[in-house]
Amino acid sequence: MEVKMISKKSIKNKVSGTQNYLTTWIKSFSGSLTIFCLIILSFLPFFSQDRAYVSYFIPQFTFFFIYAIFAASWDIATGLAGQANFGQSIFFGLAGYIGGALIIEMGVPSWIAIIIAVIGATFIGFLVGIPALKIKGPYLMLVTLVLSFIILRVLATSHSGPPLYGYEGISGLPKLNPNPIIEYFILFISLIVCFIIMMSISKSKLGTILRSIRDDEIGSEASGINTMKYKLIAFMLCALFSGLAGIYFGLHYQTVNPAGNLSMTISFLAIIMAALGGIGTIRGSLVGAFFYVFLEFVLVEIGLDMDVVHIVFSIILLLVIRFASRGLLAPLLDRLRDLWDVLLGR
Amino acid sequence: MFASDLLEMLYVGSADGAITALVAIGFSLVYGVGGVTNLAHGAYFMLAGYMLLWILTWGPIFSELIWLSVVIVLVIIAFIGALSYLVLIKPLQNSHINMILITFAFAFFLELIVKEISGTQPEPIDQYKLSDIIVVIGGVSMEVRVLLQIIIGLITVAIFGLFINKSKLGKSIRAVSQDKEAATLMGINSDRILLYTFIIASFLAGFAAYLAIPGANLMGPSMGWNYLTNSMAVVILGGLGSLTGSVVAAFILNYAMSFTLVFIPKGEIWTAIVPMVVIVVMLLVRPRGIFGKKELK
Amino acid sequence: MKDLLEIKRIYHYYGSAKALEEVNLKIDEKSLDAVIGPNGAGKSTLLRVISGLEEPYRGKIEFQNERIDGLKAYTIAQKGISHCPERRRLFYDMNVEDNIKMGAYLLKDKVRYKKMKNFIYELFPRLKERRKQRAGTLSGGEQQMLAIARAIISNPKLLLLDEPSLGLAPKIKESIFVAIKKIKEEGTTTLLVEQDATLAMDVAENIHILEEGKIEMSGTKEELMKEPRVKEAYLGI
Repeated sequence: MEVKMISKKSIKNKVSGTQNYLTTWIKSFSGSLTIFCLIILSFLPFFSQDRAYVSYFIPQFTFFFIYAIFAASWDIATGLAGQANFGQSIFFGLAGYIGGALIIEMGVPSWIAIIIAVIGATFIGFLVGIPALKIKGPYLMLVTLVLSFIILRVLATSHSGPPLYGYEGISGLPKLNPNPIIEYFILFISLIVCFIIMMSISKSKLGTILRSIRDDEIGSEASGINTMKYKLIAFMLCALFSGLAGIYFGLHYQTVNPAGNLSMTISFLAIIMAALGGIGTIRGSLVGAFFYVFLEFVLVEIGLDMDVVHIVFSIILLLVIRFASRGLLAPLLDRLRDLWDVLLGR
Repeated sequence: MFASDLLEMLYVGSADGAITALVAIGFSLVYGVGGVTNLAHGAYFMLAGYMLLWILTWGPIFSELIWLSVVIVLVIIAFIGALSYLVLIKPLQNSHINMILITFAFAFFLELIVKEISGTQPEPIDQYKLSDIIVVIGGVSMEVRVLLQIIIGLITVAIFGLFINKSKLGKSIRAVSQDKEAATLMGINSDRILLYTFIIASFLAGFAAYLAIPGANLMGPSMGWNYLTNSMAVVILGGLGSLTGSVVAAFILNYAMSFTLVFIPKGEIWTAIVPMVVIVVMLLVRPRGIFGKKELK
Repeated sequence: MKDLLEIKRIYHYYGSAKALEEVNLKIDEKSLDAVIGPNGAGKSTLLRVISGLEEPYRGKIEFQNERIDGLKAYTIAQKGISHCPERRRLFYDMNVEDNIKMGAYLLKDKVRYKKMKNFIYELFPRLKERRKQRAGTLSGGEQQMLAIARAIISNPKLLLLDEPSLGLAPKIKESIFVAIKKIKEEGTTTLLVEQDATLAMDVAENIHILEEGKIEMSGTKEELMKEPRVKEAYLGI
C-alpha cells in the first residue's frame, strides 16, 4: 500500500516537473521560436486555396520535413558519434525499395509497408554496423562509402523485371495521401515525433556517451564504455530515421529507383543539410533542411538547371566546412536570440 | 576454351591492375604521410581523363601536338592536387571529420562540374591512343595499347619506387610518414612534404588516366568513385606503407575482378562486389594487410 | 660566459593539467647541463617546449638572443637546436645510414657531413658495423646510439637529450654517457634530461632539479651534494 502511495507521488512529481520544464522552456528563446514556427507551420496550408499554392508550394514543405528527418539521422551517426558515414543513401534508398516492393509485389497496405521498411532499414543499419564491432578508425567510413556504390551498381544493373525493375526502379507507388494537405500533416507530425525522440536521445545519457566516443574513443573505452556497442546503436538509430525518411520520399514521388533514391547525391544532401545547420547539433538539421529546400526552390524558379543547383550547393558545402564548421545558421540564431532578449528587455 | 578464358582474365586483370596500382599508390602515399583519407583522389583520375577530351576541342594545336597537351593536362591535375591540399585540407588539419567531409565535397564538386560540361554519357577519346595494333595471342585478341599500358604502368611504379627509396625527397617523405614529429625535429617541414605528396599523387592519378582512357571510354563523371573504392581496397589488402604490397594487391584485386567477370555467370554485376568483399574480409582477418607494417589508424 | 639559451618564466599546460610552472633556465655556451627529477615532473615537456613541439602557454625562450618560442619545430631545428626525443623515435623502417642521413637533412655541406659521419662512427663503432641494417631490428642500446647520432650529425649548437639511459642495461648506460661526455668535449652545448640522477650528476656541470613543473634547485654537483634532501631523494644516500 505504502509503495503504491510513493510511486503515485513520484509520478505526480514527475508530471509537475515536466510541466515546470515545459513552462520555462516555452518562455525561453528556443522554446518561443519553436512554438512560433509550429503555429505557422500548422496554419500554413490554409492560407490560400490557390491550386498552385496547394499542389506546388505546400509540397516544398513536405520535402523539408522529409529532408530534416534525413539530415538529422545522418547527424546522429556522424555528428554525435563521430562515425563519418558516407553511405546514408543505403538506408534511405533500401527502405524505399523494401516498402515499394512490399506494396507493389504483395499488395501490403502503405502504413504496414512503412513500418516494415523502417524495421528493415534498422536491420540493414545493424548489418552495416557489424564491421564496427571489430573495426576502428576510418574503416567504417570506407565500408559505408564502398557499400553505397556497390548497392547502387548492383541495383542499377539488376534484372529489369520484378521485383526490382533494374535501372527503371519500382514505380506506381500510391501517395501517402492523395490530398497534399493531409500528406503535409502526416509528415509534419512525423517530423515533430522524430525530432522529439532524436533531441531527447541527444540530451540523454546515450547522447553523452556517443559524444564522448566521438571526442576520445580510446579514452571512453578506457573508462569502461563498450564503444563498439554504442557505435552500432548509433548506426541503427541513423538507419531507422533515414529509413523512415526514405520510404516517405519514395511514396511522395511514387517511385523508387537507383538514380533517384540511392545515388551519391542523396548522401550529399544529408551532409550538406546537416553541415549547413551545424554538425552535431541535431536540431541544426531543421534549419539546414529548410535553407536547402527553399534555396533550391528559388534557384529552380529563376531557371537554373538541377545540376547547376547542385554545383551551387557543393560550393556552399565547401565554403561551410572550410570557413564555418559550426554551420552557417547557428551563429545567425545566436544573433536572433540576442535580438529577442533585447526585445523582451532582458 | 578454358585456356583462352584464363588468358583473357589475365589480360583484363593486368591492364586494370597496372592502372589501379598507379592510382592506389598515390592514395596510399597521401594517407600514410598526412593521415588524409582523400576522397577526391578518384576524381583526379576522372578529371584528367575529361581534360584530355576537352583539350582536343580547344584548337588544332593541341590535337596536333599530342605530347604537349598530355603534359599540360598532367601539370594542371598536379596543380589541382596541390590546391586541394593548400586551400581545403591544410586549414582543417585539426579536425579529422571536417577534413574527410571537405574531400568528399570537393570530389562531388568536380564530378558535378564535369557532368555539367560533358554530360553523363560514355565518351571515347581515340586521338591519344598509344597504338592501334591488335594482336591475337592464344585465341585472345589483345590491343597493343593495353599491353603498353601494362608495361609503362609497371615502369612508372618502379621509377616511383626508386624515387621514394633512394632520393632525398623520397626519404623525407618516408620519414614523415613513419614519424611526423621526429621528422620535424630533423628540420623537415612536414606540411611542405605533404604538399609534395599531393602533387605526386594527383600526377600519378592523371598519368594513369592518360594510360588507361585513350582508346577506351570515359565512363561518365562518376567513374572516379570506382577508382577511389579500388584504391581503398588495395591499401587495406596490401597494407599501408608498403609499395610492393600496394602493387601486388592491385593485381590480386583486379585478377579477382576479372576472374569474376570471365568465369562467373552475370559476372558484370558481381565484379562490383569484389572490392567490398576484399575490404571486409581483410579488415576482419588481417587489418594490417598482407605486407603492412602498421595498422591503419 | 655568454648564454646560449635563456628560458624566462615558462608556463605550460596539457588541457587543464599543469606541466611547467614559471621555469627559468640559462644555459651557457659549451656547457653540459642536466635536468633531473622524478617521473612526470615535466622534464620531457621542458625539452618539447624548447624544440617547438609544444608551444609554451606563457613565457619567453631566447636562443642566441633571439626569441624562438612560438616558432615551428622545423624552423627551430634550422636555427641549430637538435632534440633527441624521448624513446628514441627512430625511423624504424629505414636503415641506420638513412636515419643518419635524415638527421643531416639540413646539412648542405658534403665535406662537413663526411667529417661528422666519421666522428659518429668513431664514437659508435657498432653503428658502422650495422649501417645497412633496419633501425627497427637494432638492440635497445644500438637504437639509443643511433638516436644520438641522428641528433648530432647536423652539428647543432644546442643538443637536447631526453632520457638517453631509458630501458638500458647498466653497462650500456655507461658507454652512452661516455659518448655524451665526448660530444660535449667536442664543443656541443648539451642539455640533458635524465631520471638516473647519479649518472647525470657525474657528467653534468650544472644540475637543475625539476619537481612538479618547477625548478626547485640549481647548482654544481658539489653544491647539490651539500643538500641532505637531494642526497636522500636522488642519490639514495
